Amino acid sequence: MRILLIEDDADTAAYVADGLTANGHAVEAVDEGPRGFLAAASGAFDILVVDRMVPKLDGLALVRRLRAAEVETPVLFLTALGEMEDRVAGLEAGGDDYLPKPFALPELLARVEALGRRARQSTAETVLRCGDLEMDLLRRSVSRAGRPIELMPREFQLLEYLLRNAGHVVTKTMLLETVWHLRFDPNTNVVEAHMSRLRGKLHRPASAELITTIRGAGYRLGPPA
Amino acid sequence: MRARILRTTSFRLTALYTVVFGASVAVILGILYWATEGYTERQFDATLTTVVTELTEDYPNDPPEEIASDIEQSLAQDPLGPGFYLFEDRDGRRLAGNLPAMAPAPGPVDLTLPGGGKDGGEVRLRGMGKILVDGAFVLVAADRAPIDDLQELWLRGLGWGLLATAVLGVGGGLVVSAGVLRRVDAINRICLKIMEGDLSQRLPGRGTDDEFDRLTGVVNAMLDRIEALLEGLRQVSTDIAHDLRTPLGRLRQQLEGALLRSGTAAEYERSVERAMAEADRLLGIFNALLRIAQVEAGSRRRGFARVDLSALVGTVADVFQASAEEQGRAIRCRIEPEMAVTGDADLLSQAVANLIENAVVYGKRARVCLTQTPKEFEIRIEDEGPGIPETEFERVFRPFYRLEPSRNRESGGAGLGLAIARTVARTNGGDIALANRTEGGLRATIALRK
Repeated sequence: MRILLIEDDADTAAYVADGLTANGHAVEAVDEGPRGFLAAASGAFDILVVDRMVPKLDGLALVRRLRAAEVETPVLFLTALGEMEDRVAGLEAGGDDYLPKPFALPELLARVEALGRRARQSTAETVLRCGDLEMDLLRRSVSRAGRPIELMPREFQLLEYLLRNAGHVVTKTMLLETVWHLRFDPNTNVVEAHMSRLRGKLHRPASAELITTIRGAGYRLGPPA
Repeated sequence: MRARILRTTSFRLTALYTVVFGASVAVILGILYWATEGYTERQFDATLTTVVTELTEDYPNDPPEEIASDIEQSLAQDPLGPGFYLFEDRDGRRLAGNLPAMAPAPGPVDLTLPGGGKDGGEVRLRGMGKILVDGAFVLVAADRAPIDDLQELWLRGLGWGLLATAVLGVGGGLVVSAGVLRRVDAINRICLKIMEGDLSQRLPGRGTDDEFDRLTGVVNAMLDRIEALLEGLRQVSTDIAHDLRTPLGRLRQQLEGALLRSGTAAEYERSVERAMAEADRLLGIFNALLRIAQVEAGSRRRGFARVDLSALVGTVADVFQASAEEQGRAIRCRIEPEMAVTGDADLLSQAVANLIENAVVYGKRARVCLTQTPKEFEIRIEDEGPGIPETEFERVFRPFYRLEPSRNRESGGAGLGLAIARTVARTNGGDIALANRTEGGLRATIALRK
């Protein structure tokens, strides 16, 4: 994907740009607001990664202007410690996701890729598939190789999110946010426990595990895309 | 010191008061003087007029000789009479009396008679003249000393009175000001000591409940509060320093160990991972501290929205259910449906999570209830652990406070959970109360106003 990074801290910018480039993305970095706005408004990018505090035009105002100019490129906000309370403001300004610093690179990568997919995905889909696994969103039913699988509501939400991001890594934080609506790590094994139950229910003898654990990053459903 | 007294507010007030009071005394005495003085003079004149009238009653039926003889007789025999007479005919010749001839003029007159006094000195007289029908002139006069004496008495009294007022006023002002100055000086001295850092100092009071005592009382109460706050801050920063030093030290050891041991790539990887986990713990502590500070500053109020409390409590309990079940201590819930408050969902989740985590970790088995009273929603988290001594109820809310050494960093987290929970509850218009249950275990209640 083509990613525009608007970040004034040179170290963070290099860390993010290197990390994204190493994972096959084309990154252009800008260190101040007005130039960032011009670059973003050109529409040449798939994702914008915007620091909340950039010189001359701060991140919020920049995104608000972009949205006013009908530039709908997905925006991931980065924010320094202590600005967590501005998450709501960030989303209101037109941001699509919000990542507080310091963050682990896999987290950023997973979120950027999820944002890119979300933008391309049609929301009208009613059936999600991965290999022989099928989820019918209207009938709220799941089946593997034609055999129905009974899931608890939470497990269903978990699997739905994995299916929507099939082939890509989703992090524990992303799961906590979307499935449990928690924006902090509660120090429990809730994700692991649900994941293990889900794996048990999806298991089919003599076939490969559907859900892979990616060490230090998160989980992936199906083979890498 | 003297110059300072003169500059004090109390002295200036007393001086101003003295001037105003002295002026009013002067005005009152002046009016009295004017009235009395006039009255005495009028009385004097009336007496003289009577004498003149008696002398000239039957004139000109009586001959001038009779008036002259009456005058001579009075002069010779009446020691209580006016004492000074003049009787002239129409041509200005003196017929009788002991006053020198003068131009006739009717009515009252003041004159000075050189050498008329008993000691041969000058004497001041008050006279009453009358011009008779044929142009003759009669003047009766008396020593006006009684009038002058009274006047002098008045003036002297006024002078002394004003002087006394001034002396008392200024003196009183000095005394009062010195007293006030002494108390203010004492306060100033102590304030300087406090400014130099000795916060244990308190302003002196007299115990008379006067305005100074009330002022020093309020200031002392303020100092108590400031001292407590500072003590809290000092405690927290010491705790922070202490609590961060340990994980930072471990982090350093791990990095150093990795550097010294020339191990395999896999060993390096493990060391780096451990170091990262340690760094993450540190960041977690910082996050929690910042969150407390933010919540206390109230900056998150902007994030307030309608929150489905029933769903929120249910979700959070559910999050802990898996690990609780693993230990065979499933969390029991009794959550009334459809309860909603205005607040910050993220923060409220965190507060509830912290309390449930404590209950699961320390209290063996947790029980979560969401109920309502007419005024409040109550989230009760009960456990079956040993509870905590009542004396610790307040202290456990302090950041980094740990109940016992065994609840160390490994099992007990950073000791910030309850601090965050209470701060959150308070900014969301509620509070947290702790109680030991009679059947054993601790009960934490978050009460949120409807």
